[in-house]
Amino acid sequence: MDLTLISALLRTLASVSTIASTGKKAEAVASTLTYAAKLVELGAEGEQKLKDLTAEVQTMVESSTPLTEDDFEGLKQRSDTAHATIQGA
Amino acid sequence: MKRMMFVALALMMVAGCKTVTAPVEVAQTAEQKAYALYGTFVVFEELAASVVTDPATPAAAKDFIKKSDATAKPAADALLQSARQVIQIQSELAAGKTPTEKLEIANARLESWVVAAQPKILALQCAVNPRQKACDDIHNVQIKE
Repeated sequence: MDLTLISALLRTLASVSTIASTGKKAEAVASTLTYAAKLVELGAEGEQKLKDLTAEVQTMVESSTPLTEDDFEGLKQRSDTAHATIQGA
Repeated sequence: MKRMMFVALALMMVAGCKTVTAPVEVAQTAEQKAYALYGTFVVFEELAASVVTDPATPAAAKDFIKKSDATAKPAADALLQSARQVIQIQSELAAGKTPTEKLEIANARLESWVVAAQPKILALQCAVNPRQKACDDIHNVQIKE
């Protein structure tokens, strides 16, 4: 099944659960469904990024391109930014 | 409500269980493995940043991601530092400024950092995306009503 469709279904269920009833329990269910939809979306995004990284490493191996410190520096900067966001949230 | 939760979980299970080749599996040299593993760490750290800033994310999930990132980051950075040393020593060796043994030692140290960092990076990966098969042994996701 298409991941975008699953995510959309989960988000629809979240909306329906909010409309169908009121109260904290309904809100909690809606929130859980929205979170589930987010996980599905991120799962698909993560898989694609891993595929891209795998292809990049495969090219590196086949072409015997030597890695440079700059290659690692670019990743380090991205990591530092993400780390600051996570720990500051 | 419970029926709705079952539907949601069933959909997540259907969406899951895909096997993606890990970048580190195709790498051959120690520095390629380090690049692949650190790159994997960055992919999931960026996804984690997106999850923790989403208002719909439960507080417990945010805390778990924060802890997993706090544990993985020092190991990943040590791995990166070790890879930089290998690259520096390779240039010194090419210039005839250092013995081969020094590179062998640095490579062995880097390989050990790859092994040491891997479970911590996998733990972050699973905190963000628990649907992966590789995460089955790490923890079970519990969604509370």
